[in-house]
Amino acid sequence: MAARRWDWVQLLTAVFLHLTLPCMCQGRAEQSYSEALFMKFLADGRVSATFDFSTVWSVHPLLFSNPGNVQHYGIFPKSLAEVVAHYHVQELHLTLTQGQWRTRVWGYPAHPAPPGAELWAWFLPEADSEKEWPGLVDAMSGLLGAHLNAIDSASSFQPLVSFRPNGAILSKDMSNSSALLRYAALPRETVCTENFTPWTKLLPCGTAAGLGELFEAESLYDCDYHSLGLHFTPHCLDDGCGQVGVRLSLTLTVVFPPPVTSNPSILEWSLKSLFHRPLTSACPLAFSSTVTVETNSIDGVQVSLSQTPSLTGTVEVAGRRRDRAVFDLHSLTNSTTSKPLPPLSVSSSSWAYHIMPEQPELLVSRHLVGSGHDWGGLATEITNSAPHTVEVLYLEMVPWFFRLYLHTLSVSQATVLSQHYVPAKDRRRAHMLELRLSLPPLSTSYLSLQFRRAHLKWTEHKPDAHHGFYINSAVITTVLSECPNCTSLAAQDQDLAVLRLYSEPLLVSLPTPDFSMPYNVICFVCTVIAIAFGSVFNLTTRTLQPAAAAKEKLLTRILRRIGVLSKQKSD
Amino acid sequence: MVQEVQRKEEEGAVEGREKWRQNISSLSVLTVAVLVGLPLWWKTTEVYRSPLPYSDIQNLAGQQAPPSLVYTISVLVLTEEETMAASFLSNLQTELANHTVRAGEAEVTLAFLVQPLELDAEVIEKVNEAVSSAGGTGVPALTTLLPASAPGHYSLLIAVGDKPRPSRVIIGAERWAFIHTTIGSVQEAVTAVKSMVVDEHQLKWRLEDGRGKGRSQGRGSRDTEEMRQVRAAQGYQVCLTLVAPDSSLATVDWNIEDATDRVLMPFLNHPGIARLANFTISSQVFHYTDLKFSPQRSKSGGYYVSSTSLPPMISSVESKLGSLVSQLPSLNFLVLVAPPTHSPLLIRDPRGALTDNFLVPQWGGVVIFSPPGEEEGGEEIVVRMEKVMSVFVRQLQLLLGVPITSSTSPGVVLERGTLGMTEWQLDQLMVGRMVESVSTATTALISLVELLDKVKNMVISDVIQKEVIASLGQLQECYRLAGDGELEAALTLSQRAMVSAGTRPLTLTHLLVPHSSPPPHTETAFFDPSILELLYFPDDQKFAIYIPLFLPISIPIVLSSVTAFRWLTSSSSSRHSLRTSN
Repeated sequence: MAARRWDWVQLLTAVFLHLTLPCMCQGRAEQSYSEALFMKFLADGRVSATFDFSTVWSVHPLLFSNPGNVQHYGIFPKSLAEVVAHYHVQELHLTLTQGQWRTRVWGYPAHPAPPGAELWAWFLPEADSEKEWPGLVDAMSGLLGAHLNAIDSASSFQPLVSFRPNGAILSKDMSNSSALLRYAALPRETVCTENFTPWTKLLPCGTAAGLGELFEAESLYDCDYHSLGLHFTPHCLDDGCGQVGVRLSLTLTVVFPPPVTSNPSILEWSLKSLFHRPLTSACPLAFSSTVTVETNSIDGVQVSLSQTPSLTGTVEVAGRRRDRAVFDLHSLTNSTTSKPLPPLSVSSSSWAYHIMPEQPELLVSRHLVGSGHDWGGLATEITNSAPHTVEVLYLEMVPWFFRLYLHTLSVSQATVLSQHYVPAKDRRRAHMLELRLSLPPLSTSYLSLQFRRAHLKWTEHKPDAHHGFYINSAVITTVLSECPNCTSLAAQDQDLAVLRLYSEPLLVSLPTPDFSMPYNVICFVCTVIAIAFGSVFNLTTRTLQPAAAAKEKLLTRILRRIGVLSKQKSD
Repeated sequence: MVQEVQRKEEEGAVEGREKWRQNISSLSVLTVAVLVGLPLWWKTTEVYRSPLPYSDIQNLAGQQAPPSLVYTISVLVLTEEETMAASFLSNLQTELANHTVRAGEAEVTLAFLVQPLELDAEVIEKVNEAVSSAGGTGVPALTTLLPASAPGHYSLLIAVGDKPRPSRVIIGAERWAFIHTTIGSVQEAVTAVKSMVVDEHQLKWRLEDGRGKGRSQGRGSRDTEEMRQVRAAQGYQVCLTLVAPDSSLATVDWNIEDATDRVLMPFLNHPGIARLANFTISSQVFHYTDLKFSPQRSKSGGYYVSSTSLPPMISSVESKLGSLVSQLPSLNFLVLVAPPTHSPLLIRDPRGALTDNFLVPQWGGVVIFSPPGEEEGGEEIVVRMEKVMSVFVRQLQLLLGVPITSSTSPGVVLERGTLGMTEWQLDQLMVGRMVESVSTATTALISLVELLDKVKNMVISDVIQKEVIASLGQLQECYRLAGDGELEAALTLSQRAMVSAGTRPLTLTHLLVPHSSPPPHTETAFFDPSILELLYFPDDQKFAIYIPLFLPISIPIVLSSVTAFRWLTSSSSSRHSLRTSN
């Protein structure tokens, strides 16, 4: 089993990795910046916009992490670079997402991300990842104003194979070990302008020029899907990966509602209508600044452009031709006159709403089963509609307060090739189940797993305790040989592509205590003690007399009070 | 009848015994409640407070706060007469008695140790030669002849001339002074030594500053100097930023690597500067920063902005500065590139003077670079770094309080050192910063202890205890080193003491999270779930919880013990009365 697992590691590693020897020799480190926007119609008439701002710096990652006393950052954001260097990070991926990407209708996303926040990082081999991780989490939450501080050891994971480094690999040892990896997700995190504004500050041109001009918080957040990303990776500078630099890629994916017109069968959008801002210039710092529009995303729908693009081309994506029109902002904006660009508008021919797109090969969906406050279960459905067997990695991460029972794991259709399970420890570690599955062709596999709910201490409940607790999205990772449904700007330049799919996060309610209970309990216990003590105390300090005598005494006392007895006596 | 009496007596005895039993049992319950219950309650609800060395810290407050400094003065009297030299030495020693600098309650004592300078005969020959040659022009050569000196150790050369000519004092760039004087007068030597060893004014304000008295509010030139300087810290982050104009398509470039290596690094690597603090240098480029200013056209053809519009300009850049990982104070130096449409751009102060740079006290400096000529878009602007960088170095000197050699009194010649800084002046700066650090650390410790003393239900974790003890130990060690004349080591220790004494927010968060290892980050500590455990309850809530237990138990105990006491007194008095009646 172990041998098989390593095969996988090697396979996944082989996808991106170009093993390199550190070459510390360098002159003046070069920085290059490029920005790109990719727009396309989705099958349900929505419009997706994918921004990618990437800065490549030819400084070697090891030199980047140990800059010594002097470091010249140039246009590379210093605040982020300092964090990366201080915590000895090799790779860093942070996404902040609002909404769930609908893979069934929209195809695969360009930058897959689960709803909420996701942060994962690979540390440099010499780093003590245990020690650096909390600091990194804090620094990143400070950098982007996100509430990442909620990540603690009980919500951090070290998946064995699902999250391999995306960038160049710096040393051979780390490719086989996940000791340097930390993964955490916060499905509850909400994303807003307070995260977006610090993110735009990392852009060399900010929101003043180039594609950043389109950013207006109101329109970006009034949409169906919104995902901010920050990806820092070691980057190969040449084909053989003889020289390695670092790359910072800031991504933003937005899905806008269908741009309907008065004629319901015609959809039409322009940058101005979607973003509420015109595009007036290119960022002079960027060596390339482009807007790309895909014109035949949907079969049977022709898309016409109001302007002639600088470049048109067809890329072959998994045997299917994709026509793309590229607008080069540098050539469109005359450098001497800063006139607004001619507005670009895109309209469709008669839109066929009823035609459902071909379903992507792989789909995942997960839901909660069971009723009551004791037992519950997770049920996952993985569909493989490809005519061949697909091997996938399935990663499930469940908080410790759900007592997972591994013997209840049942898998139908799919075959479990290998399994890696890390059981939880109360308050310190969560459950992690990583399965390698083989999905038969044209099949739907079901996984189910049962759990019991544990009782939390009353101080462990979060504010708004009745909201419930989240279970992270399950992650499906696979290597696809061809990807007809991928949203990608570049043509497939690699033979293999790593595809990651995220299921829905689950919201589970736990038995919630009555929070005034501690006081009630204190009162109850105190009263019981007081009663017990009182009766014992009375027994020891009061005189016990025969009941009859007491009665007589009482009677005589009453009589005397009335005056009968005393009269008699005096008589 | 007898039987009846007997029965009654028996009944009385039974009743008495019964009474005795009741009262004794209620008294014993009271005893148990007082002896066991109360201490138990007290112990279980106690707040965890590690013992702190209170008395030692209070001693610090009373002690002559910063350490007493000991300087060694080695004197060489160039004369044939042995007795003359000896008498000069003893005269000098008596004149240089302990000198105390006072600022409020704090004071520093300077002690001087005068000893003869031991040199080889041939070296003395050469010195004699150098001194006599050309009436002192050869004196700078002395630097090479005298033994290498350390901070706190000074050499004094006295040439005794009988001829009545105006005496002369030369203070060398390294730690020596040459004095040509007539015999019998040591006054010049005393003045020279004092001016070389101590800058009284600087020591005073640094003492006050550390005491949290705030920098003096006066308006003199010395006071602006005080206001300008950064506070003593273990290290500084020097951050150079190029701020490019927002409305130009021209790209801006600067050769920062070269400028740093050639201009900034030699200054920071100067031993006198490097030992003050650790410096880290970083540079970055900002494009498209909206500077929020509106230049006006001046008569001479250029443009200017008034100095009042500078603060918003700084704030617009500052939102992007700042570090997420380091707590060291940062010194920011900005190069603002004037927009080509508004070039040359200068700053006009209220008096009408024009300049292209300004210094922001305790923050950094700004230089406006105006690209030559009206640049058209698309061209590259290259910032001339030589001039900009030398302005930055000068600003950095001012911010750090590096003294610049200038002669003050007539008859005294000051030798200029490398980069315009002399060793003895750098020593003064070092001593000043040590005094400030010690003073700050002491104040921090005292106020921490006062706070903990005042708020009784605040937890004192072991971490705080450790930090306080460490800081105290470092302070005491620093006192000892300064007393031994090891000034450089004393400075390092005083800075460390300042950090552990809690001038950083780190220690304050330790206050909030007990029993944990030092948190690597303030935020971790602040948002640590264990902080909930610390919620101490206000008194009304405390009583709401205590009353259901305490009231029903304590009322019967109190009432019955009152009866018991009454019984005790009455029985003893009845016994007494019985005895008296008998």
